[in-house]
Amino acid sequence: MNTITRSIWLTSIILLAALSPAAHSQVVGLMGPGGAENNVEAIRLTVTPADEPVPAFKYRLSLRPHELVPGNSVASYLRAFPEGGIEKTWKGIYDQFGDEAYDWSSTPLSELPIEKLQDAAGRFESLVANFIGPGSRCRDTDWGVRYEDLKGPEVITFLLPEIQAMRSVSRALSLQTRVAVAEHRYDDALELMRMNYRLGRDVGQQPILVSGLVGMAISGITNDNVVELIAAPDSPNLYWALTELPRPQTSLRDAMRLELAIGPRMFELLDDPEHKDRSYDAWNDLWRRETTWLMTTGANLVSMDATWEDMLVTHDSDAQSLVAVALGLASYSHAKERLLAWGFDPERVEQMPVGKVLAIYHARIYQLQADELEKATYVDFPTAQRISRQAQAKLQESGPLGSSADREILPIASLLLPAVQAAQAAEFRTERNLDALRVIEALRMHAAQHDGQWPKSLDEITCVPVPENVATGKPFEYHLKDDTAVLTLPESDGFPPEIRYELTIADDQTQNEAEGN
Amino acid sequence: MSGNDANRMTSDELEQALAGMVPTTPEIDRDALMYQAGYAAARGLAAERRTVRFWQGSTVLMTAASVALAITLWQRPSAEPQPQFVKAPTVTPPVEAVVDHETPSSENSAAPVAQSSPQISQVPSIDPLLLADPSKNYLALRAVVLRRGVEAWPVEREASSTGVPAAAPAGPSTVRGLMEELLPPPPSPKRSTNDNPNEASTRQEDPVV
Repeated sequence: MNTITRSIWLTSIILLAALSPAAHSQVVGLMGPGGAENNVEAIRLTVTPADEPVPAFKYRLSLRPHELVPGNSVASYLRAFPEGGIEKTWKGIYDQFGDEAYDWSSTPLSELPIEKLQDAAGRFESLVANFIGPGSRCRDTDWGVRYEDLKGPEVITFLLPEIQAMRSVSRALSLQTRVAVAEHRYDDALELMRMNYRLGRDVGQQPILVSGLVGMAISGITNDNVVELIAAPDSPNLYWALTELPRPQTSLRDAMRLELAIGPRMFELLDDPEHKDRSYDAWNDLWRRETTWLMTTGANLVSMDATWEDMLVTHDSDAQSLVAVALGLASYSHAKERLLAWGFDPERVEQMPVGKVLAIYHARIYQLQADELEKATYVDFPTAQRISRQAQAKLQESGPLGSSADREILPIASLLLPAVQAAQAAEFRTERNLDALRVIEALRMHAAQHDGQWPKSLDEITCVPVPENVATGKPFEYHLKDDTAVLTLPESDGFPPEIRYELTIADDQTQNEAEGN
Repeated sequence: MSGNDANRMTSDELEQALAGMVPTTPEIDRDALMYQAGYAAARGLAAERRTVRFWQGSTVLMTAASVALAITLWQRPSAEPQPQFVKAPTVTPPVEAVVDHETPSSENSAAPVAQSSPQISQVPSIDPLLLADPSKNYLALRAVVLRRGVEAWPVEREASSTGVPAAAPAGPSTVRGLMEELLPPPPSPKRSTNDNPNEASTRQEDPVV
């Protein structure tokens, strides 16, 4: 082998050896699960610049008070279900199109079999026109269920079939919206999105955490439809239409306050024991009964076969009663110590029935934990996250086996108090994502007023106020990459994954292709 | 001559004996020798060529691999996670709007809607709420939705029991349709064989709804 060949060979070996570790990590990263995880969702939009409409609120996504009609929106929505309604229509679609139909919602519009979507969307026309549309124009919303008045085991045994049903309605509206966008019927698309936003607000109006989350999910679906409309050729600018939406779109404030009070609502033991008068035996019996129920319920909560009837039955066996009494006696001295530390009159405490001492102690412990979690409901997102983390840590320390002096005897708070961080994150995420769409529309407006040029920074936009990121209290992350405007919603906001909008201006050729020329 | 005799030979006699020895003529086949030399030379050359080709080939391969790897890494130089392309609502030509929709079949599906409860595997979990059936227990539902999102609340997939696509369900009953269902039709009048224009007609008009 000559010198030249040998040299080349040795150089290649060295190069390969040097590059291999870096290459390995890249290959592992490309392989997906098991390797480095992709945490970025890139949404690439080719858009046409669009100036502010004339008049400014030519397009709206919510009705004004004088445009609403008397009536209860829920009653109208529910009429869409009997006699071959929404659910049966969906069933027919799934029967005809199979599993493919389930994937439509997650497939980009340009890749969808549009004829099939037109067929499916057309089946909902009558239902939307006769029930959902009129419902969305009603002034009032009353679901007719007084969740606030439920007590005892019924607090957790109630079901939410109407909320589940509204998800089907939202999907039908979204399907119709996408077909309208594909057919360039933008006015129809806007009207359908208005109905969907209204539906989300109505669902989230119930003071139940799950309802609020479903309401926000419906808003999220509609936001996705807005993105598709923004990317449609010559679509109108929706900055003011998005800005006029009620904010927050779905508030979890009442739901959080009700959910955090679930302990006293479920357990009579925790329902203001300091001011309740009962006989000595009644207090002790209450302690025994509710402890026994909790032991029974704890088992039922993990049982797949438990029904709501099971939840309402107290299995009052001798063994369980004995355990309840033993637990009470073992905890009595600690509970009495804490009452004295909190300033209760020693003589009054000595005269209290054992059951009452335990009830007061437990009610205070529960309220301590619930109030710590409730603080996060009223502050900005970064502060809410910090408060929630601290409160969750305290909740763990206060469990029956925890190290805190204010630890529970029965695991009521640790079992019932919700993971508020996840719920609060959902509310802020929904608001942030909507504001991101407003930023995109502000960019399109700027481009329309500046010969199709993106601004170098968001500060350059002066045509409309540019919203800030509610997750950080600072402007959104934006930069120009050649001719592409990049708007980033980073994972550091607290809502993984990172979302990156990459916007390019449609050129004339793309425009003509889009218009079918 | 015996060894003893040789020892007793004089130097002159030894010299004469040695002078009488005539070297034998070498018996080498030149042609064969030339052939074998050429054969051996050719074999060595071929082996050397193969060796050279092997190294040249491996050099080219290694160089190509290095260059390809370098190009790949150059195109993705940073450790920043690459965006996962999720959706790109691209500009599309307008789709022809479907104006006519076939009216749905008037036959209602008689099959009852199958209700199936969500299946949850009995996997040991640190959170007992997750083992409970979310459809029967609000706390379990709340835990599932908070931890996994609203989409974790399953929408029942109702498969057709016959495998035959079901006809599109009929729309809601209208007032007229309900009236026709609930009210019996009027009796049909008896006609006389002689048409007597003076007889009052007993035919009744359909009620106007």
